[in-house]
Amino acid sequence: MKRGAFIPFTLLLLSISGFAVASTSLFEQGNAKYKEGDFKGAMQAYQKYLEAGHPSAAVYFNLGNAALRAGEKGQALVYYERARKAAPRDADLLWNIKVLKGVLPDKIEPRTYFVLAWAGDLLERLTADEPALAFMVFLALFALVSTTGFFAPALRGRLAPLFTLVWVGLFASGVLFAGKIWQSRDPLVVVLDKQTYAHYGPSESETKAFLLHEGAEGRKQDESGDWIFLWLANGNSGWIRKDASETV
Amino acid sequence: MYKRGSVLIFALVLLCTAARADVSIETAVSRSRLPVGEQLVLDIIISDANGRIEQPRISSIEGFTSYSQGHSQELSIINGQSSSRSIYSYVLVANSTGEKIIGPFQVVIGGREYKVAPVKVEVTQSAPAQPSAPWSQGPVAAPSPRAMPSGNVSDQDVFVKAWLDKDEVYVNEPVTITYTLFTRLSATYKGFEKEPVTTGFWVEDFPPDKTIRRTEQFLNGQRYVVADVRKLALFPTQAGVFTVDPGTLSASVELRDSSGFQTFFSSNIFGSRRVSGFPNQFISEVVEKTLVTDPVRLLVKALPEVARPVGFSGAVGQYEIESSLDKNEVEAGDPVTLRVRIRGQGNINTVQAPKLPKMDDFKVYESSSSTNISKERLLVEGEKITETVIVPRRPGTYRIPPMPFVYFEPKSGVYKTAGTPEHTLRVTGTAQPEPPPSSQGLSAADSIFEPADSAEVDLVAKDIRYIRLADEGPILAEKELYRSRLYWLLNLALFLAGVAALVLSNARAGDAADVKGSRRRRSHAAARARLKAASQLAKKNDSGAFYAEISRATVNYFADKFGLAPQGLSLHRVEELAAEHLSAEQMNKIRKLFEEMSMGRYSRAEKGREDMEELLELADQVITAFEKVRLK
Repeated sequence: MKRGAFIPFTLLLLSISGFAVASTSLFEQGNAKYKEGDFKGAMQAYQKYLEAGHPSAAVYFNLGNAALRAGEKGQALVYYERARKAAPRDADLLWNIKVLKGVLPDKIEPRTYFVLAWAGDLLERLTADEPALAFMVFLALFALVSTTGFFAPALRGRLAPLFTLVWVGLFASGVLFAGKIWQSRDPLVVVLDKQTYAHYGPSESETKAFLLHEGAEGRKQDESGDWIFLWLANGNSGWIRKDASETV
Repeated sequence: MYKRGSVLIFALVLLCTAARADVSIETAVSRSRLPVGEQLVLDIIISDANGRIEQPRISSIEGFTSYSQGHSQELSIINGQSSSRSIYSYVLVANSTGEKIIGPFQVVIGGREYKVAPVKVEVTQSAPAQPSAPWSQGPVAAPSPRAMPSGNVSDQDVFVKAWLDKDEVYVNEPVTITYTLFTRLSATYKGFEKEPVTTGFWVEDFPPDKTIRRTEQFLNGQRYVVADVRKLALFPTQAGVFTVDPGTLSASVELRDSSGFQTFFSSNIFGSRRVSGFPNQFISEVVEKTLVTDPVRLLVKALPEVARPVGFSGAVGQYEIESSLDKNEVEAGDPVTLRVRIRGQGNINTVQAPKLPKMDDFKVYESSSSTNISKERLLVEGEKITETVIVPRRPGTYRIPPMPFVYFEPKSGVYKTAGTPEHTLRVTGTAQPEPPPSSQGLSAADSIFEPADSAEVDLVAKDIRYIRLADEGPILAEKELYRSRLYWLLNLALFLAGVAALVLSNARAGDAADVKGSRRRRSHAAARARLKAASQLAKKNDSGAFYAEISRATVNYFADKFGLAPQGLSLHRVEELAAEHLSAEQMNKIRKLFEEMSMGRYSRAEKGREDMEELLELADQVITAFEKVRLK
């Protein structure tokens, strides 16, 4: 390549990516602080990077690691769960969540039927958009196959198995999609306080139902003032203070 | 002195066949014949019980003084079959001669009551010399002899006092209740008429041979012989103010003129009567006396809430803990026994061994626990040994982390933590095939059975994976796709397009499949159009074209109706096909129409306009009539 042609091209590229470089350095700054052992500093750098408009699974993953190293287990779980929304099948992320949950004081064993547990597992391995996209793709296929049938009547006989396939795909993706929508109606909530009591009603004067520790996870089903109604996977439910927790 | 494990003579082994066939209850005594004043051990052995076993109540056995010696539990797993055994041991001291029946007892297992059959024992006269028994030695001095009116023993002569060694204790801290007998006469302690009411307490009886202490005291100017006849350790199970009803005792008082004091202990208080050196005439009368004592009050304080460590499971007292592994090197799949021993003073029966941390790399079997209690020093102390069998799944070097044991020390009023040492276990061989069970055990411990060293692909330690070095990969969507209106509109459009294409192409295919039907439907209109054209031709008097048109109209009409080609349609064919639907008159009209048409087309005879109008009329009638026919 001629040198004369290469330089202006490089300059053009640099000017385009100028903004990106500035904020990428925040990400790298966070990484550098993490390596030094300044986990709080790393968290701040990653936060700024987030605020600059990079809500990626990678930065949430790093934030989770930094928070965990800084001793904030509940906060770490919040970040990991956010990363999981974008990258639900990331092996490193799933490993870290498993390790983190292994050291949490509360063990919440899901109480559900095996088929439902299996379906829940499958849903957890999908982002919200994946079944939505799959559903749309199958709808598009349906439209394509039927218009083909319209314009090329001679092919109608051959299209029949394709139709079956499309119907099955539509049904399966539709079920997953519905499940995902149903799941995201109740957002995940993680306890951040060292410990907090769940009450039978949204007030300190209500009877205490059970004690939750940092990192306990549940789904928010209702809200009233400063209180949220939390439903745990083991079937227990109660009201906890909003400021003791964070919604994923 | 007696030791467990001495020759056990099973005087009678009785199997209790209960409704639940797998539970068996046996009773065994260590000896079936014994002299008065000696002791035997009664074991109640409960095998394969389903449910919680409540401690059998062995409060009073006639002719014996009893106290519990402890409880041990065994669990064994052989080829996956587990069996359990609980043994409750009691020491019984014989205090009168004759054939005695011990039992029957009630045992409550899982809320169900089971009956244990009685055991027969023979108590003989005591051996002449018992130098080992401390209470059989004579008193240092005797109170001055006194004459007594016969049958009248006052409460000042013989009385009993029950007293506690502490007024205030913590929950599960022992308090000792002592029964002290004061006497100015020759009296023999017979035992309890009514046992103390000890609801709310866990009770441990002290052995009588350790209990009896005998002194002299002056009370109100009178000399008394004082003896502690019974001591019980009470472990309160809940906080509050308790009043213990100490029960009532009985004593037999010998009224005589000579030194009564001599015989109070010369015939020992457990009824082992020494051969008395006194002549019989000195004994005037023996009176049974019931001794009542005042209730005692006790304040039980709750354990402090503040600074209570997380792993506290209720142990109160003074303890030390140790642990050991029976092997330090083992092959994967072979069992290793982890033995945890807690030793100290306190209610060792209720002490819980610390839980093992979560162990993904091991199969864990809670195998057995045994409790040994000693009350020799007038303290409840002993040890609890828990054995856990762990089976490593994979080779490697594992660290078994220290297990903390938290207890409350009432003396200092603080919680203390003792811990087991750390153990290292080397596992050789090949990995076991089973997958690790999902999180068994609920321990909140941070460290797991961490593989400290690795063979092949095993982990050295469990930690989180490293941060992402570059920001690549998926972005968290601001809004899910399904929350956007566009998405749903697009879906709707695709769906409608698909459905529309489907409906339309189906309709067309339907038409194509029904050529005959469509011809039939169109036939009438086509024929009418042709007849109209013919009528025009008739008006022009163009007979040639008229006949050609009217023939086409009629032939095509019938051809369409019957789904045939017009070329092959003859009158003969129409007659064949239409005969079943039409009357003879109508058939004649059709015949006439066809004849006229061929006459008109092929004969040379000139046809006038009237003929043509007539023929048009006929064709119209035929078609109108035929339209009413429902063809199959």
